[in-house]
Amino acid sequence: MVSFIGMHTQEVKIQPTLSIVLSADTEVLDEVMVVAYGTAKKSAFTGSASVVKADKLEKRQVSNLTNALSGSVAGVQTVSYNGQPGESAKVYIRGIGSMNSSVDTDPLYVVDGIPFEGDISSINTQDIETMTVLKDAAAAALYGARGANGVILVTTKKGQNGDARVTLDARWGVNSRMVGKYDVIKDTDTYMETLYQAIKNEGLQTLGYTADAAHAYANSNLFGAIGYPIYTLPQGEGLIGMDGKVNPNAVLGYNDGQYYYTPDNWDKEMIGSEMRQEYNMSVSGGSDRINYYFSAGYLQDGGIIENSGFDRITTRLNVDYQAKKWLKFGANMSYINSKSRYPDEQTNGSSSGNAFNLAHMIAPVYPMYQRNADGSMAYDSASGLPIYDYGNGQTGRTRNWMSMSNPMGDLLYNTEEYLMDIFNGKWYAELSPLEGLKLTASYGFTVDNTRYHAIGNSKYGQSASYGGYAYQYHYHTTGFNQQYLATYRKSFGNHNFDVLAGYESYDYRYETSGASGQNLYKEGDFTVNNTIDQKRGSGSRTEYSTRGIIGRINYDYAEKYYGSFSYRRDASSRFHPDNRWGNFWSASAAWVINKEQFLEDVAWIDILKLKASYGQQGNDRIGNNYAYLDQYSVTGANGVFSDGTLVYKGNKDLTWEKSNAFNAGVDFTLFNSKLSGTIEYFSRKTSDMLYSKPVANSNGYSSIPVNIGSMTNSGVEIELSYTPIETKNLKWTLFGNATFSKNKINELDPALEGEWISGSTIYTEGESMYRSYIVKYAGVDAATGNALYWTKTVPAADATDEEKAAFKSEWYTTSNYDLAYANGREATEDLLPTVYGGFGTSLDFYGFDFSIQMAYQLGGKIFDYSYQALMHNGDSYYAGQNWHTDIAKAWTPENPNTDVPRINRSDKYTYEFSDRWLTSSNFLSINNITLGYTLPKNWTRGLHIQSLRLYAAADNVALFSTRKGMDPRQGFRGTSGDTYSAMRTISGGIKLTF
Amino acid sequence: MKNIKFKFIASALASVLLVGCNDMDTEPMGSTITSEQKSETVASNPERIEATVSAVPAMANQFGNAIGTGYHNDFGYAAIMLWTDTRGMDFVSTSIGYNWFASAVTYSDISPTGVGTNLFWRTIYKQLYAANSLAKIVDPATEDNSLKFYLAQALATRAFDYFTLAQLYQHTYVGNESKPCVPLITDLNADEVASNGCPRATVEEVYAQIMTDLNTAITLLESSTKERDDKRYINAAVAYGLRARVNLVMNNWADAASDAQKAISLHDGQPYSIAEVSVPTFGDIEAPSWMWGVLIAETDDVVETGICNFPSHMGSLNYGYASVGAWRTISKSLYNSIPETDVRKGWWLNEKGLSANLNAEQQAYISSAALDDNKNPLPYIQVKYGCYNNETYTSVNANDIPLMRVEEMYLILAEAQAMSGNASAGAATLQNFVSTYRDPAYVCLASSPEGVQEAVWQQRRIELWGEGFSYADIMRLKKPIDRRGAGFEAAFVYNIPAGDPVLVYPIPNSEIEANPMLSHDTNPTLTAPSPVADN
Repeated sequence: MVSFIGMHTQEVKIQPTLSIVLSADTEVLDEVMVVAYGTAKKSAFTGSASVVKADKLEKRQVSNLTNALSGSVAGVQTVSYNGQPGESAKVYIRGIGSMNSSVDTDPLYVVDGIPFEGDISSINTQDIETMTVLKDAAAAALYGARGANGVILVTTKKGQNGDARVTLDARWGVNSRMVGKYDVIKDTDTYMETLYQAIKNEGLQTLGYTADAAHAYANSNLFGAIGYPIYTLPQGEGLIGMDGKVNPNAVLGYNDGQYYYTPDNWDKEMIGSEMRQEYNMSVSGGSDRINYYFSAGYLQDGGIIENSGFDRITTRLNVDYQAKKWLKFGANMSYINSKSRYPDEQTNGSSSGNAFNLAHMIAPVYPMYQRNADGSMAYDSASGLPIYDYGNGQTGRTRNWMSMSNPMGDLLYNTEEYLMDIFNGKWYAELSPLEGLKLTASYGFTVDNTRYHAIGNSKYGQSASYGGYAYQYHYHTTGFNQQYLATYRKSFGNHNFDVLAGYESYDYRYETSGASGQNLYKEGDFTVNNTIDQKRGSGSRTEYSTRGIIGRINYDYAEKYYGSFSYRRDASSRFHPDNRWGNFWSASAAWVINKEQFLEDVAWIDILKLKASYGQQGNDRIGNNYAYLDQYSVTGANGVFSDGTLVYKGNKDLTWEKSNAFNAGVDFTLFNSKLSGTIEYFSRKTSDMLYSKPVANSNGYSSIPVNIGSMTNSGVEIELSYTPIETKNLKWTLFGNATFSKNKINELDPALEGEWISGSTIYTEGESMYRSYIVKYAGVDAATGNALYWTKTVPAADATDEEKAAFKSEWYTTSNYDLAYANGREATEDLLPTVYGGFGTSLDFYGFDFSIQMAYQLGGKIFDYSYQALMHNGDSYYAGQNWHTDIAKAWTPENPNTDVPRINRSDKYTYEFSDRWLTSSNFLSINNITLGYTLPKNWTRGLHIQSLRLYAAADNVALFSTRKGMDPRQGFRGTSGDTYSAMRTISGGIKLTF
Repeated sequence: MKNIKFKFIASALASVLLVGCNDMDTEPMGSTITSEQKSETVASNPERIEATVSAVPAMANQFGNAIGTGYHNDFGYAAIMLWTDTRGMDFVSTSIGYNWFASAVTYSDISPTGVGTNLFWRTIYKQLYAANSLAKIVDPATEDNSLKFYLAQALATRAFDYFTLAQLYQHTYVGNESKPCVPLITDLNADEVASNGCPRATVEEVYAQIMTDLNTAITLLESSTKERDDKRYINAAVAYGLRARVNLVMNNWADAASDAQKAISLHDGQPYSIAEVSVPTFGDIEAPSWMWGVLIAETDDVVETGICNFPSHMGSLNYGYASVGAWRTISKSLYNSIPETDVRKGWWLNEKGLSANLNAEQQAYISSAALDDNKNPLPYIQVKYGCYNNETYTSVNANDIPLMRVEEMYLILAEAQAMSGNASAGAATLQNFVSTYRDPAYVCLASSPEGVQEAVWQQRRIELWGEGFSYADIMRLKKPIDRRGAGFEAAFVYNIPAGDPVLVYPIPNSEIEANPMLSHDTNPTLTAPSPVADN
């Protein structure tokens, strides 16, 4: 027998040549898991945690580890608003514990035991051994200060005893857009005909013109409305005939003698396929006293638009050395150099620089390129690139919608990049002066140097008017973490004790400096000294600190009954010194039933454990580092200071938010390890919520940070894994998880008397916070074609109180949205999905491995803002913006029974915000499909190759939602298509181990 | 074993040492300061108190401070000028995406959740917070010349702010004295209302506060020997000018006349000459005509944004929103009513797209930029406002913003003289002013008080076009908003009668939701006007 923790035990049969292979086995690794400030046997763990292991992570082609969490862990939701390569998804563990968007709800990341607040994209997923999501108080209470939103422990790989193991992995792939476009009008004729309707109906319905006059009015205003004459018309003829169709004599394309104008397909031109390639190598090994892991990787992810992308070089060295019997020390250091070409307008909703916004929204009537009179493309002589039409009068034409913009021209001629040097280091020394006693000092240091360079070119677009611009900024972040821990293990017979005590401090500092200037001497030079006008400099620094004392006692009796108590006392610099310290704790217990005598003979139960925990954690993430103080901004010029602009109203009494979490569940492994899983009930009650309380703006400020109210997220989580077949050459596994969760507001600010309406959101005690308070759409008035909304009768303004009390209001419909808004708004049902999760399967057979992983959510609703915008009325703001093809269902006298109102560009209330835009947020996404083949060992052995695997993998394969183009994964309340869209990657690769 | 113990003790000691010097006092560096840092700075350098004084006018010039930096119309008081002018009939623009004030063209700004009402409310109340904070720290009984001057800044600005609010959130003073106006928050009740809320005071109460503050400010300024450093601050002439405005609205004609007269005599300067306004201008606080203005520096945030400032949305000759299609034009009928002999005829392009006020470079630029889709020149575009440093198509939009020019005082004087019973004196004042400074051929034909008032209004519409007075004048004079013949798009040609509820802005929803003393029924439900046939 040859054995090592975490390795398969293989019986070695007598063979002609003796070969012992140690292969990593996830089943056995389950036995030891990473927990807060240490490790624990899984059976001894009393809290709630889910583990994602290297084998799953390695399959994913994500440039940020947060994107690998989607659908893989019960109780975890990811929201990805920004598809830019390298950007993080928002991760929510057991729901959002806050009513304020300004409150940071990110979980705490702990990398190799050190709390990490750096850029999470700097961690190479290929270096990760496990990601452990700590979900309840028992698991996370020791991170008291910052653990209230859950904790994700990231453990990087270590070397194993034995001969050096070298791994090479290379993959090449192509990115494309995962989520398609909305069904919008694709041909110019249909768009112009619809716009004609909008203008003609204004003449007929609003201005009282005759049919002939309205027709003439529409035809004469059509090109003016969009700004471009894109058809050639015979002398004296209009574009649209009396039948509402494009004049058959009209020819698409227009030549004004100097330029030729014809519409381009912006979507196709801007959003395309880019390369993704990734190379990783590692060398690891060890002996009795030392083990090491060294890795290097290179990633190039080109995104899906030009000049956006992420290039990253990562290196890591992880060494542990047992210097003396009583002294062990080690270091784990990584250095990352990355370049993110991040054109930041791409997530800025309605910005004219946002390629995704224009691709989705622009009508098929505008040229993207400047063309010569003969129809040929115009090129920039210096760069050879096409000249883009910014619709800013450069050809004498001004686009009505999004004039003075061309995101493609900006992407090609401008530069925006973030260059990062990131060092993450951890050093530790561990003393074992006595049997069972360990003293550890650890220091974690993160330094992130990010340089931001931006060039706005001097020739085309907005920046051309002032000769271009250059930005040169530097952002310097440091985080220093100190940890001093003592652990002591002692057994008295069957009574086993494990005690931990320690101190931890964290100091964060963020410094910025930068300069900018205008009027470039030469293109392509981002330095400010390349400019001569409007040179400006800026700089700032901010700090944040926490201090904590921690303690924990674990007890078990005969590895059958477990109990654990942990305590942390924490201070945060975000609060006033008088309110700085908070006490956090947890208590938990577990009962390993299968070790009881009465179950000894029950063969189908391998492991059965009941567990429960309760505890309190804290949260200080109010979104401001000096939240207890009023803050002003200092401005001024020419020797005169002004320091009276209040930028943040502070609150001296502000203190910790408390999160009380209860967790109870059962872990099981049954039928000879064929079926394993966890079922848990959780209830997380957040009280004294950190909350930016809105105050009347007449005070001169709009909010004040307070601790108010309470809210509960509760639910049931199920994780299952089932292996129906497992033979020497065939293994088939099914896995899945589901989370049923609910949100409830327990208590609001007493002054609100149980209910608070903020804009279109309503918060009511006893109800979910995910309810909207909006106007209800009542369809279309069949007689007039107007949009109708529900509203209620109200007592007369001069009615007495008695009359008001006796008044019975009645519902009726109105076309006056403002009336409906004032009197008819109602709360919607809970918009939150009833259940979310993921599932998949994997199959290993004769060297082939196949797996598929999916994510889903069901039972929720979401506002589809893009659809709303695509159903506009064609007014002078929207002319030139596209329509959804549903606009064809609009009311006309011939089509009176429809739910799409008439198109009239002066109708103000056609597409107002109402429940008309509320859409089911159900989705199913295929996150990953992988197919691999490992060559038979006897083929590769002769080449001294331990294993050679060829594989193909597809990430973010498909999304199925209720409306084409809509991505419900962007948020809990609303979604829109005007952000960097999710990206599919299809790759092939090779992995070599020797 | 001894060795081990030593190491144990040594490492424990090292730990304790590290913990010991591990304090957690944090503070920011840079342009954000905490209240602690502010008081420490003032304690060690008492001159810094002036920063709290200059903060009051600075509040009129902040980017993204009221609603957020995503709103390119959030740049201080000048945005309110643009917004209210856009609502009227003399200041014409189209409802396109780059017109950040389009909802005032279309009257879709009548909603209590609209950007407009929120922008006014927060811009003004934030300045009130700064003014009240300053008033709080100065002893009203002070004998110190500087402190008297400082307190006067707080009080006069507060009066200006409430005067602005009162004219947006209720019909004019006369005839509406008992109607609800806005929450009245001063240095005396600021702390109390922060927790309890504040009801709407009546129009009468608000004007009473305005008058008290102006009276005190005038007394303080007249008894202080301190001279203002520049025209961003209020001096006695400006305070009289403000009181003249308020008296005009309250129809205290005689007081308005004497205040205007006092303002003219105290002001160190005179109206722009004909020559001075025969070129695009109105961007320099140093002009002798200016009594008070918003002083803009090139390094201010509003300027550094490039396009989120007054010149961007207004200016035709500089880089910005107006010149990419959101042109600001004068009403065609108002333009046609200006005599050819009036120098102001050149403040706008004529029907051929030309202006005599432009030099060759300016004319060539605008002739190439301001074209319709058939490449015909666009008419009536304003060229009243010039470029910063007179540099055509500059992207540095650092023009100062006029808040009070002495011309206005002459017009107030003329109207107030006439309305207080001396029509001929008023007519003479008007005749003298216009013929001296604008149109040598001008003859005031009016002889009745109302006739002179009407003639003054005509001059105000031309002289003060685009300076944020037109809407308040319409309200004060109880005029309809008749957009016929002005050049609006057909769908926005309205004829709104005087006193229509739609003319009063609703209290913002966010205020109602967070102010326990207000409820939603404080706002009537408004219906947007319907277009009428143009002529």
